[in-house]
Amino acid sequence: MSAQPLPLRFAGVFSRRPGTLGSAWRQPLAIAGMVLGGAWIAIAILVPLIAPYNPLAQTSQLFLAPSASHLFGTDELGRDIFSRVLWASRLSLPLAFFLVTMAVLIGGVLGGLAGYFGGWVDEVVMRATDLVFAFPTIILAMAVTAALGPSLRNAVLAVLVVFWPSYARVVRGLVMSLGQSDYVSAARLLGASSRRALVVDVLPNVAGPVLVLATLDLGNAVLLLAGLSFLGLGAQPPTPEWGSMVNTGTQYFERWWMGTFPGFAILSVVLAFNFLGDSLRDALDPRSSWAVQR
Amino acid sequence: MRFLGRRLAALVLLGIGITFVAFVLTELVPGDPAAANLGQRAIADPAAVQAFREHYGLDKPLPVQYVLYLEHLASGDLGQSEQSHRPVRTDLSEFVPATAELAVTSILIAFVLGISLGILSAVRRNRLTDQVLRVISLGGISMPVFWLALVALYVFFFKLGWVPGSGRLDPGVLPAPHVTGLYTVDALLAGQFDVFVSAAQHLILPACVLAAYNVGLLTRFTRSAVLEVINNDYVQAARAKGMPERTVVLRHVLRAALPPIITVGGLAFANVMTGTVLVESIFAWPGIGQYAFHSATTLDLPAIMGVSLFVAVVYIVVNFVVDILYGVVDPRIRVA
Amino acid sequence: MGRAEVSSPLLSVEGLRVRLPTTVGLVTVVDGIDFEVERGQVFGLAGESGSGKTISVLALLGLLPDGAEVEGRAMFEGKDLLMLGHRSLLDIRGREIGMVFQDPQTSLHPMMTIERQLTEHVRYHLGLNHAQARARATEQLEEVRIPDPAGALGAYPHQFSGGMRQRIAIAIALACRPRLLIADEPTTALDVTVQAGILRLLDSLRRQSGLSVIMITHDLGVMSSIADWLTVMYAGRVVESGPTPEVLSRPRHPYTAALLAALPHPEAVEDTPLISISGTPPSPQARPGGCAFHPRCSYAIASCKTDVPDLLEVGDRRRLACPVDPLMVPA
Repeated sequence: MSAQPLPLRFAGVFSRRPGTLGSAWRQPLAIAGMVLGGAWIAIAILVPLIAPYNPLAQTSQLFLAPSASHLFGTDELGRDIFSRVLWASRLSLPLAFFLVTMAVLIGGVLGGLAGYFGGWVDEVVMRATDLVFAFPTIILAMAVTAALGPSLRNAVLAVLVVFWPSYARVVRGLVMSLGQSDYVSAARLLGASSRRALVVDVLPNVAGPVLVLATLDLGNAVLLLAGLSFLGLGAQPPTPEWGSMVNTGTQYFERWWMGTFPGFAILSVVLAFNFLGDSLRDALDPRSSWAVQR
Repeated sequence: MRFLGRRLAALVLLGIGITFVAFVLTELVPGDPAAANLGQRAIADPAAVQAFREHYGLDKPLPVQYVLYLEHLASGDLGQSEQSHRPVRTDLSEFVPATAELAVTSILIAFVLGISLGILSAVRRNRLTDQVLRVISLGGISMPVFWLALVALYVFFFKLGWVPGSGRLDPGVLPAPHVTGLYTVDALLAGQFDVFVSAAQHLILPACVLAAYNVGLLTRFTRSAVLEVINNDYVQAARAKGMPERTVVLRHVLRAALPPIITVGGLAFANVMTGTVLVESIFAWPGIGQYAFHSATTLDLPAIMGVSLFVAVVYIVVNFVVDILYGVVDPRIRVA
Repeated sequence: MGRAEVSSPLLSVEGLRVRLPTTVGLVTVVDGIDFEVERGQVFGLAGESGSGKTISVLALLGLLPDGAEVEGRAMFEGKDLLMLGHRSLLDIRGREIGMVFQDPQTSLHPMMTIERQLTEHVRYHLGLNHAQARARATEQLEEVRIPDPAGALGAYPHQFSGGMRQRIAIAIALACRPRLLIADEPTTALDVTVQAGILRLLDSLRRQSGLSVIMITHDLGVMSSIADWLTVMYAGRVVESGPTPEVLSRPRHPYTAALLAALPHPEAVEDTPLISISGTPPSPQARPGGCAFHPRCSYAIASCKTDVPDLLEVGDRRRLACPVDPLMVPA
């Protein structure tokens, strides 16, 4: 008997999944993401206790290959790379969370206002997002940071400039479609005030997609900050930062340990956030083709 | 036709908008642009400083400066690089072909590989192939591209010696007569096969590294687009007509899934541009990416702004082309 | 009276049972049905959503999802459709059995020209070249009364109205001149005024060519205008079948009677209350034991809760699955 996939109209009847959120957390991807992310958060918190050396302490032991006493080797100033990689998490992780939170707030508010009021408010916000989207991410971030002066603070500002429009667009779209939706109209007819309708009906529906986007953006934030630091526009020496450490690594190519480990740290953190983001998306959108099926 | 017209108008407006952004950014920079630009000459030669001021209208009010700025742009004057002391435009024209060659190759690899893997992943949904591909593609978009370049170069060049290390050609090999500036294409056109091989060998690693992120992105996008469509009524109808599954997937499903995949084209281009900035210097690839990288590390403002503006304009045009392609593939859009 | 059998039935289904995979395991959607479709006959299959009518015909064409289990026999032109290998099924689909789907908005490919959709399976099955296929496609469009067939070939589905699209879908289904056409709710998504046109078209097509049609719909009005034979399904089983005018004027199964009673009568007196059948049809996972209709049946007796009624011959070409048979009109 040849087996062909079920027509879509039947999919809902025959494959509705009970308890979507519960089953999604048990997926291997989500677990891996939580374990990895949790590990890094733990590292960031416990670094003063775990790091074997002072990340800024220069010694005469230059360019040591990885060994028992220096797990990741030493760099061009004799500093222990393992400690520097660990300490750098104190920079990248909090900043990533901060960036995404701010982008969600700024973008969400602007997008919400644009969607709710429409008219010229909407036009202004939309044109602003268009302008930001017209530039490839790092180009704009690079230009902004360079113009303001290379420093971590300005790099953060630049990333913020580049991130808020996505949320503005998403929230605006959702607010507009929900504002016209039947059940919000019904709620209004029943006498609920506008603000109440906004909070109780609109917000939960907006939260889902925004949350997915935000989790994935955590990874993007880490990548972008690292990229800017790689260009010399973000964290300035001697601050340990993964991106700038990889840059140093490219200058001392044969000492492979100098660039490989910091880059690997970036990869693992971003991977963790992406695993989580994907699992979140699976859980929140039962109709999505990413949906898990037994 | 109306569809095209509206898109073009939007494009022009956007173009003007980004010049405004670039202008504002330039104005934010503290300090005296004349001094920064002319360097030592500023101290020694007041006449030069004065000429500079007049050319850029530095003593005039801001709106006037903006208009002057636009005028300069219209005539192709992007300012002068503080490093090379040449017009940015000259620098760019020298470096664009190299990046063009890299970008086009990379995008081609990404689309062919990404779409194929995405279809495979969708058709084998939830089986082992799919799980593996999902993890791999997730890895692709989680990787810092500059790190990948470093590792790839170390492994494939330093350790394995499979590819040459830097530049576009082996030392001593001269490029074919200039037609497009893309060494591979020019070599083929001139029939110089050995040049072609050398150029291709140098091209392959950077192109693959740059393609990694996009392959991950496209695999995911294609998978999801195909799954959206694969059980639609019209696909079932095709099966009910007796068409074999392979034809159904490659003709009916892919065509319906193509529009969202095409929109990723613009994003893919942006990713490649981002990648070139970070990666060209690692491969000693003399393109605008390396130019931008160098300008960033030396804080050569005019060069940075010039490159940003140029890339943004190209990006806008690419998005425009993507929009057109979307209309070509999906006839319903042409009427809208 | 016995029927004058000129030839054996075109399609003879026995004991068809279909189980589909769900998140709670395999669920029986079609629970052992039998029916025959004669040549040149319009065979009506009636029932509400969830009764299993669409799944039954999908099973015949092998279009069920991965993991579906099918039992029974479906003899078509001497072959058992349910035992055919993949290659043979491809030969049957589109060529010997054609299918028209419910929603013309979604059953035509939005990005392929009408010509392509009309000719690709014709060329695949019959090996025609481009020009031959094109000419045949033009003829086909004329047959279904599409104005300007030559122009229509180069157009896309969204450029046509719902009724036109359904005609095109019919042309596509009949392109290889199949012997059997399965029409799954072909008029449900269309305006009432357009419905009549489609039904007339189907009727004339089958009179011209001796085509058999399986007409699936929940609309008894449509049945009465076009179906020769009516089979009523409920919860995966056949409850009643017979010649359409008979079944509709003298229903013998309580479910059929209730369906008829629920139809609003255009000539009823004002203020006549609308009758509806209390309760809802059970979902496949939650079918009651015994006769599936018993919770909603006004004539149910004790044994209805435990004994599954067999489908029995009850006189003149009628079949009934109700031991109580409360509505039998004495001959």
